[in-house]
Amino acid sequence: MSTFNAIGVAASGVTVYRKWLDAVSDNIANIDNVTRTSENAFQARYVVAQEAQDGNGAQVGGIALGSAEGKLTYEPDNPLADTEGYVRRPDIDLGSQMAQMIMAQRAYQANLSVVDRARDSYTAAINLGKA
Amino acid sequence: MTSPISAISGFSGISPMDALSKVTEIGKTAGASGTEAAESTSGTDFAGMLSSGLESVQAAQTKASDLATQVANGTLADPAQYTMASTEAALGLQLTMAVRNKALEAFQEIMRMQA
Repeated sequence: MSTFNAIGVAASGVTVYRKWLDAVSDNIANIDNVTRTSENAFQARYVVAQEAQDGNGAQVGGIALGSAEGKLTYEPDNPLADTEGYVRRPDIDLGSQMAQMIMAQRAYQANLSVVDRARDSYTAAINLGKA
Repeated sequence: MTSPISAISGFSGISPMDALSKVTEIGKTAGASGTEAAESTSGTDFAGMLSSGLESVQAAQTKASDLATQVANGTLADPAQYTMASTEAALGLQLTMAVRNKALEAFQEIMRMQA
């Protein structure tokens, strides 16, 4: 709807950052997954954000996946370890994920603030000349 | 949720709007300029703009009520989606009422005119 465009544009940003938050929470939830060396490690999800057409805000272009090799760690006591005592763990840095979570959360809030300000402005415009 | 809008949409058909567009036409003939004649053939008269505006308000209301259904279903991915859609629908309705009130005000002003 073009009448209240600012709200639609901010809404697209909110959706993008919500998906980023979903991806980060998925990465953190799976950060300690252990797999056999014959299998792939959990691959981190990265949201690819891009500009939407005709200045209509942002959109998610796709999901990029992290390393399938992960990190080989020596854990001979682990029941999933191979004959040499190695297992695969996902190659995800918790510190980086926490930083991304803060960025996604703040940007989500910033887009919601835009919606709020736009609503105030539109309401002022609608009420023009009423008093 | 849809009933207030459908009640208003009947409004474009009643006589105050026709009266207003007649007044606009009188103003145009009085102006007697070539550009104004071209403008009247383009087909974007006030009643047409009003009904297309009402359609977009109706669409915003439908979107908001669809999202409200998703809240009830538990299938809504993001609560902000609903609150933003309902904000947009409420703004659309406020704008419709503002336009209606202004048009009615103008009509009543004309009706008070003395000969």
